[in-house]
Amino acid sequence: MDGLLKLAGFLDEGATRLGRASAWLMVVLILVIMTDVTLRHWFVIGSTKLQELEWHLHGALFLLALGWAYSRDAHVRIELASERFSPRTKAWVELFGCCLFLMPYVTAVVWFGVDYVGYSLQYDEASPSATGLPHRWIIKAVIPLGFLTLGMAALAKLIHTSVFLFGPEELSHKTSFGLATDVSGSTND
Amino acid sequence: SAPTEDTNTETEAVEPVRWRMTSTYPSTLLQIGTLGKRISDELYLISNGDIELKFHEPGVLAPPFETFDAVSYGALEAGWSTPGYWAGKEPSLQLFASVPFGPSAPEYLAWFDFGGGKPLFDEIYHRHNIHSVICGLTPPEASGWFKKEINSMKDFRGLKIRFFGLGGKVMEKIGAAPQLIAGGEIYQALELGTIDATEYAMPAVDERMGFYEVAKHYYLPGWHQQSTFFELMINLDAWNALSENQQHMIETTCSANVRHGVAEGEALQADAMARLEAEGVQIHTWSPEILAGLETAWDEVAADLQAEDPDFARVWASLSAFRAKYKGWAERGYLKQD
Amino acid sequence: MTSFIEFLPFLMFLTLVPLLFSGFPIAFVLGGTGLAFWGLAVLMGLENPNSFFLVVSRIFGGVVNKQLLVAIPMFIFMGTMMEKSGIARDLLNTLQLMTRRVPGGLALSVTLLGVILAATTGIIGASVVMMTLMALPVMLERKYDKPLATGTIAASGTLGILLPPSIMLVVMADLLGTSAGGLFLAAVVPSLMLAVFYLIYIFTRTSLNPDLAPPMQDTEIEEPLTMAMVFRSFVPPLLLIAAVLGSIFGGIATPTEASGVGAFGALLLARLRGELRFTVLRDVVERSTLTTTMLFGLFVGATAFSYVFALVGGHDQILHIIQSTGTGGWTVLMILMIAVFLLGFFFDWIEITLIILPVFAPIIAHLDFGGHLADPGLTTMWFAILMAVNLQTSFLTPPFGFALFYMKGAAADLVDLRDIYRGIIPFVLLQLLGLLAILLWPEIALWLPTVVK
Ligand code: NA
Ligand code: NA
Repeated sequence: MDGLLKLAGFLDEGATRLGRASAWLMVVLILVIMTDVTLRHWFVIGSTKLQELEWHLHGALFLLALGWAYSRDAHVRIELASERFSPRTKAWVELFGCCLFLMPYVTAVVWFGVDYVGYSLQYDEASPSATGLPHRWIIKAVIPLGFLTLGMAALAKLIHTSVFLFGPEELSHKTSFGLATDVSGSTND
Repeated sequence: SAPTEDTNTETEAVEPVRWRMTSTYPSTLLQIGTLGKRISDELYLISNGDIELKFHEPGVLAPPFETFDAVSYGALEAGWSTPGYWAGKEPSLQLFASVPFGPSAPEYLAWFDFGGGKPLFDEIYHRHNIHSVICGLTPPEASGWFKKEINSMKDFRGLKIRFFGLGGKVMEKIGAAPQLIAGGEIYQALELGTIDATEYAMPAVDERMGFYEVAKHYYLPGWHQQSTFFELMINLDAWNALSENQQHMIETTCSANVRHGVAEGEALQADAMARLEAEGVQIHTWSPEILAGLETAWDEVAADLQAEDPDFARVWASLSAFRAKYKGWAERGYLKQD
Repeated sequence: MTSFIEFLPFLMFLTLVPLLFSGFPIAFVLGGTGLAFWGLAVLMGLENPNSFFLVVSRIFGGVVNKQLLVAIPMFIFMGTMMEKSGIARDLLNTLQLMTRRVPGGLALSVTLLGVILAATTGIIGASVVMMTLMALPVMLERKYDKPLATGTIAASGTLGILLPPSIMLVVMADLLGTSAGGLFLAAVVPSLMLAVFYLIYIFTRTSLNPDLAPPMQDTEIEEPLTMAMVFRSFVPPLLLIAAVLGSIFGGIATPTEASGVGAFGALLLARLRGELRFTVLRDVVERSTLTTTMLFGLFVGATAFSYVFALVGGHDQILHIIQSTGTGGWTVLMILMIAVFLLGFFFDWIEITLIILPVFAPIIAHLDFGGHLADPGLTTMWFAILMAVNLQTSFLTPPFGFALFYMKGAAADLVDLRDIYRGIIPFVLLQLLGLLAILLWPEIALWLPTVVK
C-alpha cells in the first residue's frame, strides 16, 4: 500500500513538473507575439513562421498542463449535488469517473494519437502554408504526450482513491483525497 | 457481354454506398462549396439512391485541414476539397490544383486526362491510401484587393499581403511580406491597415465577402490561379470495394460537375464585376512589366521547389513538356483575343 | 432497432446531464460520454472502428491549430497579472469610492468595463475569465450579493461575442454568404442596447434593495478620494486598454495579436510598480496556465462529445424536428428563434450555427415579412443579428453554459455554481427582451448599416 502511494506520488510529481515547466511558454508566447507585431509594423518583415509558432506554443502550453491541472483540481466541476456527498461517496464518484470516463478517454486519444503522429512523421509533414513551419509532427506529438500526463495524474488519483476507500484507516489520511476532504479548501489555495 | 452474366452481378446485390463526405468549404460558398454539395445531390439522383455521399459542413465531423487524414485513415470515406490544400503532405499536389502562370481550363484538362497528369496524380494519392477524382473546375481567380495602387514591382516591397499557397512564395521572393491572417480576421485587418492587401477568390465570391467596402483597388488577371481543380477524395479501400458500375457513376458525375463548374463560373463573373464597379471599385489590369516580373519570380520559386521535392520535379516536368507541345497548337489553332 | 438508433442522440443527452452533476470534472465527463456512445455505436455495427481517430484530428485542427484562440491565454495572463500586481484592485477601489453615492456603483462600473473589454476581443472565455479575476474578489469583499455579482460579470463578459470584433459574426457571415463588415455595423446598436438594459436593471434593483450592493460607509474609507489617487489607479489600466485598442485600430496588430500586446503591457506595468518579483511572475504564469488548461480541457472534451453526437445523427434529428413544424416567414423565424434558445441550454454557439445555418441560409433571404422591414434586401442581416443576440443566452443558460464554467473555473471557491446559475436568470431575461425589441423594431439593427452606406 505504501509502495502504491509512492508510485502515485511519483506519477503526480512527473505530471506536475511537466505542467509547471510548460507554464513558462506563456512568457515565450508573449515575446513571440511582440516580436511578430514589431517586425511587421516597424520593419515590414512578415513572418508566417512566427505566426504559426504562436499557436504551436499555445497548444503545447495547455496540452502539457492537462495532467498537472487534474492533480491541482483545476478542471471545473458542477458541485451542486456532490457538495452534499460524504467523503466516501465523493471518493466513489472519483473512482468511477476515472475508471469509466477519464482512463478510457485518455487511452483512446493516445491510441489514435499515436497513429495520427506516426503518419505525420512518416511523411515529415510541413505546414500547408508554403511559407510556414516544417516538421508538423512535433506539435502533433504533444497531443498524445499531454494526454499521457493526464493519464499519469488519473492513475495517481485512482491509487489515492482506492487506498482511501479500501486501504487501512491509518493510510487513508495520507491520500490526497483524504487530505482534500479533511481540511477542505486549504489545498485549493 | 451475355445478358445472363449481367443478371448474375445484379442479383449478387452490390452494396449500396452510404458514405460520409466531409467538406473543406461550407456548402453555401459559391462554386467552391456549392460544387461539393452538387456532387452529393447529383450522385444520389443518378444512382437512383444507390450512392449516397452525405455532405458534412467543415468542422461538423472533420476540421477543414483534417480532411486528408480523415479519408486516408478511413475515419470517413470521402472528402470534398482541392489538392492545393495538401502542400504540407505532398508539395507536388499543388500542381494539380492551380499553377501560377499555369494553364487555363481546357489546357489543364487536356494535360490531366491525356497528357500524363492522371497517372502521376493517382500514384501520389494511392501512396496515402486515397483515391481522388477531379470533380470540379473553376475559372480564373482575381489577384485580390489592394488598399493602394500597384504601379511597379517596387510597390510590392514591404507590402503586407494575405496570400496562400504557391503565390505566397512568389510574394516572398519579390520582397512582399505574406501574412497568415485567420479567415475571420481578414476583413478587419484589411480595414484597419494591419494588412495592405489580400488575395481571395473570383469576383463573384469576393463580392459576397464585402472586401470592396475596405479596399478599392481590385487587380486582374489572377496570375497565380488561372483555373482551379477541386476533388472528391475517397478512401482507397472504400473505392476498391465499389462495383465497376459504381466507380463509373462517380467518375462520370464528376466529369459533369467539372463542366458545370466551368460553365457557371464563366457566366457569373462579368455581372459581379459590374456590380463591384458600381460600388466604386477600381478594377485594374496588371501591366505587362509587372506580369513579367512576377513570372520571373515564379520561375525561381518553381526551380527551388523542384530541387526540394522529387515528385514536384516529376509532375512539373510532365506539365511543362505538355505545355511546350500544346503551345504549337494553341498559338495557331485559336483566334487571337485582341 | 431503427427507432433505437434514432433515439441514440437523445440518449446521449439523457446520460450526460446527470453525469455533469456527479461532481466529476465536466471536461472528462464530456470526453468519456462521447467515447462511450461511440463504443456503443461500434458494437451495434453502426460505426466504423476507425472513426474515433477524428477526435484527435479535431483536437489538433479545431482547438490547437486555431490562431484566434491564442487570445485566450494572453487575456487570462493579462487579467491574472493585473489582479496579482494590485492594478485591478486599485482601479476597482477607486471606482467604488467615486461611485459610492450611486446605487450599485461597482456593478455599474464592472458592466462598463465589460463593454470596453468586449470591444477588444471576440472571445467570451477571455472576457469572462479576465473580469472574474479582476472584479469578483473586490465585489465579494464589498459584500455584494453573490448572484448579482456573478450575473453582472457573466452577462457583461458575454457582450464580447456580439460587440465587434466578433468571431461569431464572422462565422455567421461566412455561412450566410454575407459581409462580416455589414454584420459588425448592425451589431453595434443592439449590443450597446443590451449594455444599457443591464445598467438600468442593476441601478433599479440596487436602488430598491441596497443590501444587494451595500454602499460604502464613510467610516470604511481608509483614504479620502484625491486626484492623485484617481490618477494612480486609472492610468495603468487606461494605458493597457489604449495599448490593446490602439494596436488594433492603429492597424498595428490583429485583435488576436493585440491580446499579446496587452499581456506584455501588464508585464511592463507590474515591473514599473516594482511588483515583478520572480515569485510573483511564477505565480501569475502558473495560475494563468491552470485557468487556460481548465478552459481548453473543456474545449477538447466538448469536441469529442459533439463529434460523436453528429456522428450518430444528432444534427439530422434536430433539423427534422425544426423542419416539420411549419412554413411561412414569421412561423419559420419564430420556430428558429425558439429552437436556438432551447438548443442553447445544451449546445454552444458554434454547434448551433453549424446545425441551423447551412440548412436555413438559402431560405432566410427569401422569407417574407410583409413590409415589416423597410428594405427586404436586409432580411439576412436582420436574421443574423436576431440569431446572434439569441445565441448570447447559450453561454449563460444551464446546465451547459460555457460562461458559467469559465467563471466557476476562474473563481474557484469564491462562489459556487448555484450563485452563478441564479445570477444569470435576470440577465437572460434582459437578453430575451433585447431580442424582442429587435424583432419588433428591426431598425435597431439595420439603422447603422443603412446610414453608413
Ligand atoms: Na467583441
Ligand atoms: Na447553455
